[in-house]
Amino acid sequence: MTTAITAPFAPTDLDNTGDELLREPVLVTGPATYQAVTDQVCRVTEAPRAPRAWYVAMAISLALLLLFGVLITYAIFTGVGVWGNNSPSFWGFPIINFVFWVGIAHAGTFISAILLLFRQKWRTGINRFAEATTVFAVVCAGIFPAIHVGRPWLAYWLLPYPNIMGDWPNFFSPLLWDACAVGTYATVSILFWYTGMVPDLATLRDRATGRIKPAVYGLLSLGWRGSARQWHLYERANIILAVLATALVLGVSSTVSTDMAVSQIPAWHETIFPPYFTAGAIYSGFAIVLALAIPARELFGLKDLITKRHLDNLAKLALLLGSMVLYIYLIEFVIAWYSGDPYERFAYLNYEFGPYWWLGWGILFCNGVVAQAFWFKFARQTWWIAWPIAVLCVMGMWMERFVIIIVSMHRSFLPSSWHMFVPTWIDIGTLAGSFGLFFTLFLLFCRYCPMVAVSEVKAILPQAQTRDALANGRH
Amino acid sequence: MTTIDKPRPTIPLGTRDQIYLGSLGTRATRLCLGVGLLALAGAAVLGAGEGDAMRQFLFGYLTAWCFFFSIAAASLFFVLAHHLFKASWSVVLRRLAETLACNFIPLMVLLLPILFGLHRLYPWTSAAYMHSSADLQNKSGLLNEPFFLIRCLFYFILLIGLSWYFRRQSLAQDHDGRLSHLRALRWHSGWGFLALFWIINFIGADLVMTLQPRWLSYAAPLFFFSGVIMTIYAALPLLAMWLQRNGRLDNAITLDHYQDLARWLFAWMMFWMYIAFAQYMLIWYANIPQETSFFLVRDLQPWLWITLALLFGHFIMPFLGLLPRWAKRNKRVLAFWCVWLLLFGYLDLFWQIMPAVWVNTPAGRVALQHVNAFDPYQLAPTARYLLWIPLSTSAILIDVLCLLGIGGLFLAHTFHLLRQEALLPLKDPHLPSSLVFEELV
Amino acid sequence: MAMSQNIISPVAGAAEPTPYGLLAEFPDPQALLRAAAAIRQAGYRRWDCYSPFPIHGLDRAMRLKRSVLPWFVFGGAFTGCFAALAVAWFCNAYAYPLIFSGKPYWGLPANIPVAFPLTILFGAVTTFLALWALAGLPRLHHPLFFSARFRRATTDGFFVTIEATDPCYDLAATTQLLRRLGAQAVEVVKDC
Repeated sequence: MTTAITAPFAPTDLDNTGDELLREPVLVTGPATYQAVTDQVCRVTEAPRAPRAWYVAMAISLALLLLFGVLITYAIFTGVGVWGNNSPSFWGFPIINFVFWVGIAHAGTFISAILLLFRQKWRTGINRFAEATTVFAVVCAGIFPAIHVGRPWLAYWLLPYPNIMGDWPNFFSPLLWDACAVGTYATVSILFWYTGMVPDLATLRDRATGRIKPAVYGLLSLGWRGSARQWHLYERANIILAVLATALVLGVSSTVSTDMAVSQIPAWHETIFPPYFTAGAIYSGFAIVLALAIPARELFGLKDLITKRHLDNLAKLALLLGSMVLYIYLIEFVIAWYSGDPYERFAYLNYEFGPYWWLGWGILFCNGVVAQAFWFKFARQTWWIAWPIAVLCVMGMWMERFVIIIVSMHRSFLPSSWHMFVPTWIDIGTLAGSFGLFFTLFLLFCRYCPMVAVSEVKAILPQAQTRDALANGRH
Repeated sequence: MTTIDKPRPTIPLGTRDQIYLGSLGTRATRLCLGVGLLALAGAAVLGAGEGDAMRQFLFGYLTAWCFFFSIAAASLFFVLAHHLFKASWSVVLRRLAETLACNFIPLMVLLLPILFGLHRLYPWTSAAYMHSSADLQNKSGLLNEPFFLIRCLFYFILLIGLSWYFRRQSLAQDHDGRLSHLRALRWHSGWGFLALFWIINFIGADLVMTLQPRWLSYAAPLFFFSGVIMTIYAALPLLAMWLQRNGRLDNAITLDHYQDLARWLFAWMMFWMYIAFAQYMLIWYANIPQETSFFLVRDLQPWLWITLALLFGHFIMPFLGLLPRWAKRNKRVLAFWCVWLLLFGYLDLFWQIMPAVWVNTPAGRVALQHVNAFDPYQLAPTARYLLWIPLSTSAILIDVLCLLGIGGLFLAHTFHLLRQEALLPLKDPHLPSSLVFEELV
Repeated sequence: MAMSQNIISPVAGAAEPTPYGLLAEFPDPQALLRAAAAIRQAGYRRWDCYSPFPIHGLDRAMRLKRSVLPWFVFGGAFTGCFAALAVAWFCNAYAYPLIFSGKPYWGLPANIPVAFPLTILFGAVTTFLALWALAGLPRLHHPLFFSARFRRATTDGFFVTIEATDPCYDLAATTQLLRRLGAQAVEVVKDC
């Protein structure tokens, strides 16, 4: 165990994607004993050294994180003029990045909450690290509005508290709605994530050696014993948290969309914006989970827990959500045309034929067309096709946020106020830096937390099924 | 729910009497057919007596048609979702949904009166009206009769084809037990699901949104869709309960199935509220006349009460009522909420469609032009009677008779199809696991 | 109790005065489930099962009552919704009335986007706190952690404990019962 952790393990990586009409699909392809499942996951955190690729990735991420910190500090000390924001594109990169990262967060909640309610057993292989992407993406998202206000040390003005100015926050303002929604989302996803992790942290605690690790994991696992009474409560609580988180999946991006949709700007004021943002958010989230799952299962030897079937299902869900996004793109064109309103129609013509035409077609291509390749099993199964598609989808969703936020604004009602938006290198560096923050947190999580929900995977193993154990004691 | 290597426990399906409708189906078909024809005739007679060139009748008829279209389209949605997501719990309910979905041929026939009455229903059929403003002229590429008819034909070819195919393959599997049928159904469920989604959205836009041609809302088609899908999760439990009362499927459909249906009912009700609120709040907030016109006419007395009734009856009360687990597992309580939500599903359509009865009349347009800017909820007293036109006793009687009429024919066709075949897919490989399906919480 | 003092403990045999109880290991979840049903029928009250994952049907076999957790959550969520609406009303309609975009001071549609997340927030935090409070956690130590064998309860061990404070507890008879139910190993767990 002194070498990198992939060495002693050779995952079977069986193809388990067939249509299982006569029996349940195999979701754990390797040795499916309780011990083996535990070993495969815990090995990653218990190994003295991570795989070499982890260090390389960590170095790059940390460098980007450093850039992020430096550029934010620079922006705060100098002023927001260092960005490309202008009139009429007041929002610029910070809000694009905010909306983008909030969207990325949604897949984790979808996988762990909605798929739990839908009794999708395969979700157990990927829910933990999908939830982790949620938490880290919300962290990235939360930073941008805070720095965008220019004076982040006054962010507490959003809170309703008695003050000597004698005024109170404006509850009609989507800014306040955002703060409530994103704050709630961060809190609830951390609670959900942590609650799910407690039994696995207890597993790590019971396997840990030395003095520090048992104490740390012991504290984190809250003294979990896995008693039937605890499990009974725990399952109830998990379902309730899942229901609440499901409501948040619909609610958070919807609230973010109201930043634009309560206005009267053409292509912003659309009643479909809440479901539009939600569909796009979940879609981009699936894409990033897929883009992370493909290398992560390779790197950490988890191919038997995050199997080909998991990737297949993720790609199918990305296809479904991508088709919803495509529906909304097309319905936007149809209804904008149907409005008969010249401003409304112009906004969409400007998307496709204005100065940012390449972005307008780019999002149609990346989000509308590329994901449709997942209709074909070959594309879902081949990592060198699926991975670039997933990355293109993530890029497409970022471009979509750009199109919505910049392209709708740069040609507003008065031609005299038309102005192009050009990002500065600080804008681009901050965006890259936010990826640094995300990947730093993600890599730390991979190394020190149970990356797969061990207890949940065990519960779906064939030998864990107890339906017939009490043949006469069912009622 | 089942293990991989252990033999599955078998629950006896019961005798042939329990999985076939038999003579009960014949009696039900006759009864429904009789009631339906009589009610439709009654509605037509009453409608002719209104002296408004059948206008009131056509609106009531359109609302009732949309309601039963909802049930059929939602059933098809249920079947396609079942195959798309490879569900196993709902196998015992699949045949019922397949049969309900096969009603698009009678629905297409029943659409004919609407097509013949297009001029009474849709103001955009009048050239003079379309020339009255620039934005209307801009829409004439979509809002014209030939294209409208072509669209309707296209929707129905797809709907009839899809529903027929999904039932036929399922029946074929009953007879020869081959898995290839199920494979084919799963394969076609992907594009079928998306196609159905689009069609329901577009039918909502075509039949409901264009009743007020100047109004637009990007979410209006999705709003229609959300209301449509909810209906099947209210209709299926009621159909299942009726069958079980008559000794059919006694062992097959359990409280666990009802609980799951109730959860879906709850979820779609919430989704309806989500879209409804998003649409309302954004229009309320931005306050653009072109958009607020829709809500303005629904906020005038007495329509305000229907709007509020929808808020409470379509969301707050069933939310609290269906929230506890026991309510979803108690057949009587569940039946109450299913009937309740079906009624409010109808009221939702009524609320969307009926104000067009007076809004589009010349008198209505004049009245709306003179809305007091400082108190927009007050109409001139001379115009107030307009709002009551769709709410008069005779109008409501026509609506009820239309509902009974179309409903009778719809159910007659359903029972006619249902009595020919087994009430559940006998050779589906997932039937055993569906029979012993248990909710974990 | 006097009799149990005379019997040599099957594993440790240490001279602790009051043991926590008996710990029995079972080979698989099915055996645990059957054992649980039998132990409940034998009339034990202070006992519990342990497994690395939730076992379907165990709560029914043990006749665990449905928890009151949902009521806490409902209360929390309701409080959150009400609090958000009250604060919005106080700020914008009472303490500092101001006209925003021609809307009434008290505009319910604009307050839903605040009331909704606060409903969820309060509901979720209540769920989280009530879960651990009802589960008797967090705690820093538990007698079961003295047992080396019990460390496997989070990996692949399936255990039953019967506490010494149970009225039906009798070292010899209870041990025998557990053995008869298929326990692979039975040991006495010391208390503190």
